[in-house]
Amino acid sequence: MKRVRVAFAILALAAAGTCLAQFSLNGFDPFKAAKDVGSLVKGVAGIGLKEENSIGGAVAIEIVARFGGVWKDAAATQRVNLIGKTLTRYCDRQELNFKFGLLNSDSINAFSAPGGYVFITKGLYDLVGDNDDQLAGVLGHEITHVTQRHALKIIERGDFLSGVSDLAAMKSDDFAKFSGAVNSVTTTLFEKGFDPKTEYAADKGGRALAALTGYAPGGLRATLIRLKMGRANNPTAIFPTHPPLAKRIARLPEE
Amino acid sequence: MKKHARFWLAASVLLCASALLAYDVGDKAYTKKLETTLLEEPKPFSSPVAKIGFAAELNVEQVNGAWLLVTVGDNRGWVFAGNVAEKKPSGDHKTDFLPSSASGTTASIAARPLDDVAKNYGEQKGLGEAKADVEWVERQSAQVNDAAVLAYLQAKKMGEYK
Repeated sequence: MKRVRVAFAILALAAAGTCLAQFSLNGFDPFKAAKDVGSLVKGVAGIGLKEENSIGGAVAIEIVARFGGVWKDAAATQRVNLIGKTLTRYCDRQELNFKFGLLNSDSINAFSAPGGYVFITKGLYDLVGDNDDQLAGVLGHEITHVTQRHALKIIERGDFLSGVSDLAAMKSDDFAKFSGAVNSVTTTLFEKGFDPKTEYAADKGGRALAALTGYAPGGLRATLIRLKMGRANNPTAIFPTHPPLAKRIARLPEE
Repeated sequence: MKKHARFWLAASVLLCASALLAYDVGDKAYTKKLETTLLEEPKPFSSPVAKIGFAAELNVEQVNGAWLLVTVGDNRGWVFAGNVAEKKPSGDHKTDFLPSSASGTTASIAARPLDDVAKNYGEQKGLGEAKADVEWVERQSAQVNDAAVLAYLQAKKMGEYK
């Protein structure tokens, strides 16, 4: 999950001050949901795949809602999925089913959500242009956030789901906890950002995955350099909690 | 000239990929797919010598570029490094895999689409349009199946097809 903003973050976050609306149970049918979602557990004990998919789906909806909806360019979406799925063929969580989409926003950003949702903005897609190596570098970074469960670790640390015995059966209290778990992820994605160590880990993992797959290892670094150059012209777009691009670039080998 | 440039690019990618591999002789590696095929030679179309189940521990005996010669029990063969993991996957995940899509024919129906919990979350928060957008992405994504990825890898000579 992650997000990234691939640190790339540049803009859009300014508008991130939005608060999540209160969630209500009106219209929710727990018996219908029970068919598809198994038992939840956890809190600090770990989050299973079904819960991960539920949380990831909700986070994906939030990402799309906040960044202008989906850019429905079928050809571009197919390309992102082809490169993304080529990378995930070799990722460490083969049980996941990844989906890649484009956000209808000119900001330069990328996000991922638990369960395998990965989004990049139209602005970032345009920035990398037809360079598959750079696109693979960006997607590899996001994929690593998912495979290393970066967002889920936030939830687990916060114990947001503690005491929830069955997400599908959702009583109102349980659903409030679910909403809180989603909120904890989106707050990290849109407002706080991951800590630098997590970002560096995603950079390293994404680079390795791209290289192993056969893309040029320097794709992510080249993208970060382009972002840094662009940022110089727009210093107010710097996301304060994100690792400085210069540091991320310095940590990635040249080649 | 162009041919030489392509060669050196391919060589550098291969070298970098090798350098990125964390495996050395004597290391352990772990299968991460439901079924992993060991091959007679470090080549993608080599004859299979064994099929290994999920989360098995492999002993790395030799490293050849991005290929590993491994042993597990009485089996010995080559595996592409991208098909194994450095850390042992949780055995709990064995039941998390989707049914095999070996036929590569899945299209239009998204595997593991938004579940009812996520859908209801979107509806209750008034994000129905965003929910529909996510479902559009899922349908587009489903059209890029395993067969398409395999054909892409082979055509581009990437992954184990380098």
